[in-house]
Amino acid sequence: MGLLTEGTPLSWEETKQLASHVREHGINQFINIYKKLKERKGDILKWGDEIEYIIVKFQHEKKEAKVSLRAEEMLAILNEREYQSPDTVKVLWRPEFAAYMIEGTPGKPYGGTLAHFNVVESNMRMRRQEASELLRENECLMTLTSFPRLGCVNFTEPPSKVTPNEGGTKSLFFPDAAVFGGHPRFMNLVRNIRKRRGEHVAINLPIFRDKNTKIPVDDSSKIRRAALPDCVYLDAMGFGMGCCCLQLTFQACNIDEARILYDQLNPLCPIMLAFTAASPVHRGFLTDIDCRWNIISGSVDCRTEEERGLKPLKDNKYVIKKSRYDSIDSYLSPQGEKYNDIPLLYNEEDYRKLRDNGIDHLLAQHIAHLFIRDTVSLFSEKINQNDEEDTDHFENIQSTNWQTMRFKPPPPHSPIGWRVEFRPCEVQVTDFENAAIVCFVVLLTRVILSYQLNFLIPISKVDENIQNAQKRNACKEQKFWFRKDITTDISPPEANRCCRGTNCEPKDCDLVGLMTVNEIINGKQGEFPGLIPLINSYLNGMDVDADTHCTIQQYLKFIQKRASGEIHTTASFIRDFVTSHPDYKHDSVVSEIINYDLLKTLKDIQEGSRSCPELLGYSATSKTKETIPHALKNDC
Amino acid sequence: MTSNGLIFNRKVIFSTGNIMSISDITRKPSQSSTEELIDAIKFTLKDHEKKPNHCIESNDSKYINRTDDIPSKIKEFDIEELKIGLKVFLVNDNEELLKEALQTALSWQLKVDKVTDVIVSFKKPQSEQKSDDLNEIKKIWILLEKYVEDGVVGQLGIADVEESTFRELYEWAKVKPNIIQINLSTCCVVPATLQGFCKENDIKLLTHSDSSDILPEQSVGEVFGTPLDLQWAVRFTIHIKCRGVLTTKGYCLCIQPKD
Repeated sequence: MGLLTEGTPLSWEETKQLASHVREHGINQFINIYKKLKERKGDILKWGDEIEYIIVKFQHEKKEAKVSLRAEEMLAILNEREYQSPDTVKVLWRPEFAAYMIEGTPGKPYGGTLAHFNVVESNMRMRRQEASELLRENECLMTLTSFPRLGCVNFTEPPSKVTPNEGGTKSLFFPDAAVFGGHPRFMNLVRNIRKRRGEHVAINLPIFRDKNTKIPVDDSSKIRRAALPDCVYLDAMGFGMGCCCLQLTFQACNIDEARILYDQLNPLCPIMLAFTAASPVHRGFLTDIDCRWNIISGSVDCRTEEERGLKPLKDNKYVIKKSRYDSIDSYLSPQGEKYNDIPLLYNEEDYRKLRDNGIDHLLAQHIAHLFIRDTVSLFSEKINQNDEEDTDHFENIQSTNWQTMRFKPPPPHSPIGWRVEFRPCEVQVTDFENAAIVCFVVLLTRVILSYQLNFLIPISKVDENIQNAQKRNACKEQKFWFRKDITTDISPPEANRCCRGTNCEPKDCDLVGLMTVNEIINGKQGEFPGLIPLINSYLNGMDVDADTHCTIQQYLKFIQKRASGEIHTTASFIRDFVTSHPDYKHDSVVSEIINYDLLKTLKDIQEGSRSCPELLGYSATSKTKETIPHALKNDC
Repeated sequence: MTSNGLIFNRKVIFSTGNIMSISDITRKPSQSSTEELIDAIKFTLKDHEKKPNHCIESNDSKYINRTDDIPSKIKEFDIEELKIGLKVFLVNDNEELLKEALQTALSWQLKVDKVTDVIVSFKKPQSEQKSDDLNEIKKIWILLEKYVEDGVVGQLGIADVEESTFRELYEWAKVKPNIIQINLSTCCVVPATLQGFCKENDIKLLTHSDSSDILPEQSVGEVFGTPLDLQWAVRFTIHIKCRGVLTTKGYCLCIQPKD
């Protein structure tokens, strides 16, 4: 979840006082980074993935499954190994928001030869294995986007109590004990976000209406004004940040390539969100959405009522359209500029300062826009900084703007270059699926750069797609705005005219069309080439070793099948499992026993002891290896 | 014999330039390399129609290339940053044809002094169950070795040969093959013995999805409107090392009137 600064957190009142200090110095720090590193070039491709895990405890005698609050204990051991041999560990472990989560990344980034695609899954397996060695009996490390009964009575092991009237979270459902306690940052964020907002965060997920579904769903709407009767109401940061995701970061060869990748991948965010949909059940209810995205967005929404436009502006400066966790608001490359069609909010003074220091319009407005957010987490040791050397204030705001894409400048005094982070994907049950998705996205970046493909569409359309992507069964049923001709930069004259105007009706704008995930990924005869065929064509022009190519082919076949609807998304698999479970009463309730059976089934699938063609197809095995062949090592 | 305004009374050499800049080809990613090559020739012919004087002629041959900026694009990089690969599709063991193929690709099309590797592929029509002709391979290999010794070619490879042929070639050759290329359709079922041999000897076991008969006789006839013989074809690919970015791909080929 970003940077973890050690130290003593300030109270919200103190933090609030220092908001403009952080803003001023954060922007200065970015200016200094930019000046030093804007010319940095010649970086090779390096990339890595991040996977978040939930520690699940099975109580077989009761047929129940809980989240196990042992992350801190496990991390102490895992991090000690890293501390002992930082250069040789194959996995890095980091804390995450919840006391039942850990995050694992490869010990070293993957490199620029295609053979690295063949070590990803092996590394993922190693991660699971390494952490699993520390598990107790009946515990399991699972890659679940959301724990289905999170926030239900007794969902933790050991059991913990909610404290609606005291403590940090003050939730009706989510106990403070389920927040990672090993670092003060997390509880500090919970408290400060709630305090800044002036009330509990509130997320209302429309319930999946089955024939016996009760409305109101529960008593929430009687207790809390913000709760809607026909929705599953969530009131804590943990419901969002306690979800797991699959993220990817890659290094670009220079700042311009980083801008291109940031922009070009943006229209793919909603597509990959729909494709990876894995979280239909929340707080024990089957909902009408398939993804975590809006939940996390709402769970860290620190905007006040004024900022949300519910009250006239008095104490706050602006009405802000989105939460600090949301889709990006502007493109950064010159090609992207004309598609920036949503108003971008920023402080004119900040923007001016960035411009006066030689930063171009697009990057200046992006940075200034990030800094409309106040700091929500500040440590006493980090208040006074040397803006020439330190970057904590910049990182403070950058790392609490949780957006679909992240544009990352090189850390000062490091061998690392300009990077781009791809953040929309939900995590999948098996390492095979996660590796397939990771390789697919990284291959796409290579294809985009090789063929100079252009996926850009008006950014407002991407926002629309992000909302549609989360709907039930979106991967199969929804249509998404997508660029019709991705092979050329020159759009038809009418599209150019149209996209310059502000009132751009899609029917007049021939540039974009509505496509299904299937059409985008697999192509449509005579109309759209498809991402997989493009990847295959790219691979035909590259040197790929046999094992790697075999593995990639298995991954791409899996992706083709899931995109075509031949196999289920994780979300639709979970839906089917719940609704066809003998204990299911057609009332949208996911009971303890359904939860237990579901998780046990997913555990068996994850471990490979149960085949699941409806989720994985028939050939979910690869030739993944621990290392790349020696003969290929000198190629790069 | 005419086609597209071309008179085929002598040998014609084509260079397609960088086909990655032809959107109409990128838009059809599912094509086989044969279909891709046919498209590329059509674009080269179209380009030639527009600028018919833009070709080099001699008494016995004519060189037609699609206007392109490959050499200047190569110069944007330090040559060491690029991986330049050639795959030569041969129809027989005539060394002169191999020379001509390499010269066309290196000197005329790419304008470079050296390439990273050359993979050679011998035509094996699918209808014929022809086994590898080691003598044919050796004859060509001797010439390829000279290119390596002269520093023009970095590494050598061969496509679609039996494991036993490859082992024999490896034992015999002065300049050992560094690459064996196998068809993509078999990449998941590579015999363990071959895997082991490659591992032991640091040989790259790579995939391709080309037909060894890259431009079948029937296709030649269809493209040029008249029956002609393919003498050789070369595919060139350039990618930026360590970045996985393919920048250039194209073909050179030689067509000749039937005897």
